[in-house]
Amino acid sequence: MKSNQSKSDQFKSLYKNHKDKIYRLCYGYLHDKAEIDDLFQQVLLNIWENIESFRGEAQLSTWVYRVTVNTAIMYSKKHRKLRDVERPEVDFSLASDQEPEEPDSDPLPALRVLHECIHKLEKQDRIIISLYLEDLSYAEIAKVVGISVNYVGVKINRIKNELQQLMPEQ
Amino acid sequence: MMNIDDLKSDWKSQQKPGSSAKQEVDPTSLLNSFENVQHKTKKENIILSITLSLTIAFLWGMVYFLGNTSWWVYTGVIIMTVEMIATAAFAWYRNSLKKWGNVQSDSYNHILAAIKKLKYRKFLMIYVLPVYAILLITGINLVYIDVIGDMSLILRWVIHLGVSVLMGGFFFYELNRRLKKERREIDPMIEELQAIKKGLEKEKQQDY
Repeated sequence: MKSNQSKSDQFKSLYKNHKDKIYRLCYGYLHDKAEIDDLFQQVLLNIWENIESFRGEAQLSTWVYRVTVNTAIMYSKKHRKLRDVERPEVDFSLASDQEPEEPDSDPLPALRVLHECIHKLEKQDRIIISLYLEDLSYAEIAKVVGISVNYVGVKINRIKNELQQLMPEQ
Repeated sequence: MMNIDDLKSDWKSQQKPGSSAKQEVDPTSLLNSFENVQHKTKKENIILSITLSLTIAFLWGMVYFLGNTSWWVYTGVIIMTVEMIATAAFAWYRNSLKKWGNVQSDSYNHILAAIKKLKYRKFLMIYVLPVYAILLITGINLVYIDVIGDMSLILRWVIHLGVSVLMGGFFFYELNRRLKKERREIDPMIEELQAIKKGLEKEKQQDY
């Protein structure tokens, strides 16, 4: 009982502090609003299931990023899991009647353009550039993705170049 | 030309829809939903385990009440018991919410493990399940050798063939249907994961 309470408290605190970054990663990986919400819930479910096994070897945020990225990678296979079993009563799409398609604070057209360009990238590149935009260091990105720091750098330079080419001239 | 680095702070200022105090989703309701999912899965597993336990008890009860049973019956019942225990164990494993336990590892290793699991699932469907079906049919026929031993030879053949054809036909249809579905879902998934893996490795090779 005490353990359940502690797990709930841990989850609530994690949800409060990390929900936006989780959502941004989901939003960077997928385009469709319903799929983003679905993936977001799947990430939260995975976090809740695994939260007790977080031992603090890595930073909590690195752990959250890892779970988010791995859930996103597996999403196409698993995306029906929640629908098949039982859809959570909470529906994020109902959070607001006039909810925008993009995250709340997205007044900048430049961000919209960036999102559109990111969605044209390969899936692994979408993940890496989203982590980069989250301001993670190369070392942190390497820890999340499982590649060396050196080629995180190589990769980011390439993705940046690709994005520059994809972005319309202003 | 737009600079990606200039957009970092704007990117980080994006919030999840409904993040304003008025619209915020209560994480307690989320937790309740997750717990419901877990309870439902557990309930399904428990019902399956009870059903299989009752079937095993029935089979061994039958052996006990038949008395003087031959080794045919024992072999058949043992085969079916082992298969049912394996089914229950697999159901608990399959429905275990921590089956993708490596979700906490780095993505590259996660992809490797996922590809391995998907290939294993395919192997299970193509090789293990047909063997499972053949063993089950064999087990039932072995029990029948003794149970219907007093009947005429023709009738015994009809029963053995009837049971085998019916069960074999059912398994064939069901396995074929599932295999088609799995191929439709698993093969593209493996391809996609391999493409992501290759994308990461390509850079790795160029780096060294």
